[in-house]
Amino acid sequence: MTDRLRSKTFLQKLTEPQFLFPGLTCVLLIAIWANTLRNIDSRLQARTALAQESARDMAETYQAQLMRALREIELTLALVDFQSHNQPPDEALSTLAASDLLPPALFFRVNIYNSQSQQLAGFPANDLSLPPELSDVSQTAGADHEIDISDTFSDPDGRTWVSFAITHPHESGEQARIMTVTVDAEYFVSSYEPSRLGDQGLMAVVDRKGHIIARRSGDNISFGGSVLTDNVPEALLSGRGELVEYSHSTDPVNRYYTTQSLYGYPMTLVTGVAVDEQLSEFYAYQRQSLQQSALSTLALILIMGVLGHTSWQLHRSRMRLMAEQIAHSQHVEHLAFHDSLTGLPNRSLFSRLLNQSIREAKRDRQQLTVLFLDLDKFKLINDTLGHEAGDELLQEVARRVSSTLRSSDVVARLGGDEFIILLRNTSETAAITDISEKLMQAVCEPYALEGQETVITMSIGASVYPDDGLDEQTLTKHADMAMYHAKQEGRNQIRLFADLPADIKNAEVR
Amino acid sequence: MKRSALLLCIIILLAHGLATAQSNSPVVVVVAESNVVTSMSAQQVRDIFLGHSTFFSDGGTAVPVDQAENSAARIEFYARILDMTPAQLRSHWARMTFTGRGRPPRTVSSDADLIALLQQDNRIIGYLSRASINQDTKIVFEP
Repeated sequence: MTDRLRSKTFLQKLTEPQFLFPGLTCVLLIAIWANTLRNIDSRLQARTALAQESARDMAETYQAQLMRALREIELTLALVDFQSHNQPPDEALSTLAASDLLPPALFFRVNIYNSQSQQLAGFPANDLSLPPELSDVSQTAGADHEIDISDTFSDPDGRTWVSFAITHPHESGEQARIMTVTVDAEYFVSSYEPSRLGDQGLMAVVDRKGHIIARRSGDNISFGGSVLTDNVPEALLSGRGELVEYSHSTDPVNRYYTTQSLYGYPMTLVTGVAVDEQLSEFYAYQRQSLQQSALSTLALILIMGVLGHTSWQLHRSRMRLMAEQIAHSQHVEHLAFHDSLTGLPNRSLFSRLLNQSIREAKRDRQQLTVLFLDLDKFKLINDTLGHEAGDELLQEVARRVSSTLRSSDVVARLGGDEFIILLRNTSETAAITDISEKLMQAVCEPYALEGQETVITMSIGASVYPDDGLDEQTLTKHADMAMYHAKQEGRNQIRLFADLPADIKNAEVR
Repeated sequence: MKRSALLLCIIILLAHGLATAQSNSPVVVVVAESNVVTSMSAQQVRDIFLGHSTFFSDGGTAVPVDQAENSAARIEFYARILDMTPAQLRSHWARMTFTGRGRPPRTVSSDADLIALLQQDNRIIGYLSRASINQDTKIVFEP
């Protein structure tokens, strides 16, 4: 039961504006931010997956292109070898060139050398000498047309070249010869697409010794040196195309790298996409989402603040109105049960209180006393000093009487110059007399009315419950009778109903 | 009288200069006289010489032919029509070749060789110096 009450009050508390609006704001903010952060996270994952997918894709495309380019070079070497079997070297090259069977002269050179590294023919005509690392005929003699690759070298125009060679061994009737296809190294990284690899991507071809044949990042093309320098992950050394996020001291751009070996060709290719660049769309999205959420937060707080403030004011004014109504009704009640001149309880409140006290006394077998007070010759003061002075006097009397009594006693004004008092738990004659004398003493102190010192006395009658009456009306009436008797006997005195002559007591029985 | 004659001479010279300046490109794009194409837009010429298109506007096959690498006509032609340096052109063809999309045009070593080639094959489109034009060639575009 109490739990239910408590939970109800908790719920009620929750619906009060000072808790409702901040609470609602918190809940909405948590919802907004949870949603935003979840979206950002899922976007990051999607974008990362896409970037990795794209990196793998590009690596595979690049590998396929490079493989095809290398096969073309190999095919050209085989063609030259075949043709020079039938014709002298220079004629062989001319024949092939005339049939458009040699690679574009823009970035290819085709040459034939003898075993002493002397150039026998070249297309287009050139003065390239055989790179020394390709000149060892014996090394590859008898080998199965295996393709050889030189180190890169530069020409006076600043172009960097790399030579591929096959050796035709010395055979019966034929001199040993070395055929080369020399390629502008730029050719190998020419498929770099800024639209896909970005400005920070990386594309590189590395020879068997780890030297860069060509490397491109954005519009930057470089030759020589090494691509991956320190702490190269194992997965990148294997050249199996695994994707690894990696950066190193000489190239601090963080990339998804792959390395791929080229099935039998003495080269490895390296591709990398810059992680930050690939995620730039995500970063923009993240920034935008956070900004939007921040804006929403501000708007929400603003709206909730305004709503909450308005609602709180409404609540407060309602509370104030209620308090006013209560105060008003209390005031009305007070007016109904109190005497407007002295502020003391009136007759109806007194009779209610007396009835209640009688019931309690009856239950607890207690006694109580009713005193009936009447000022002596009050009419005279009213007539001589005026009504205002009379009212003033009554107010002062009320004050003096009230301050003389105990707090458990009740004094009421019945109207005119009549007062009535309820003394709880009091019945002994001595006590009644004592209180009455104190009252009379307090009342007969001089008053300053209209600039004059005035003195007044009063007469008191007392009745005791249950001896002198069992109900409110009887007790009041008997106290009144006792007071009347006191007046008749000369005023300014106290009379107990119990002490009245039997004939007077009986007179009321009529 | 003398003065007005001088003035007239100057005016004639200026007018001549203005008139020729407009179409005084040293290189012109040509096809064989027998080719039905009579004129081409700059974009069509660009597309054919960069390998993006292999057709004339009438649907006939177009075979571009370049002058020798580093020749004045070639450098002039690509600078005028595409604003490209030889190195940029080489990069373009390296990419086209490497990705398998095309090969650079075959080359001729002189205007005479080009004219000879035009006579043999009317699919050929080339460029040469204005001075080399003869009755077998037809100018289709002046860069």
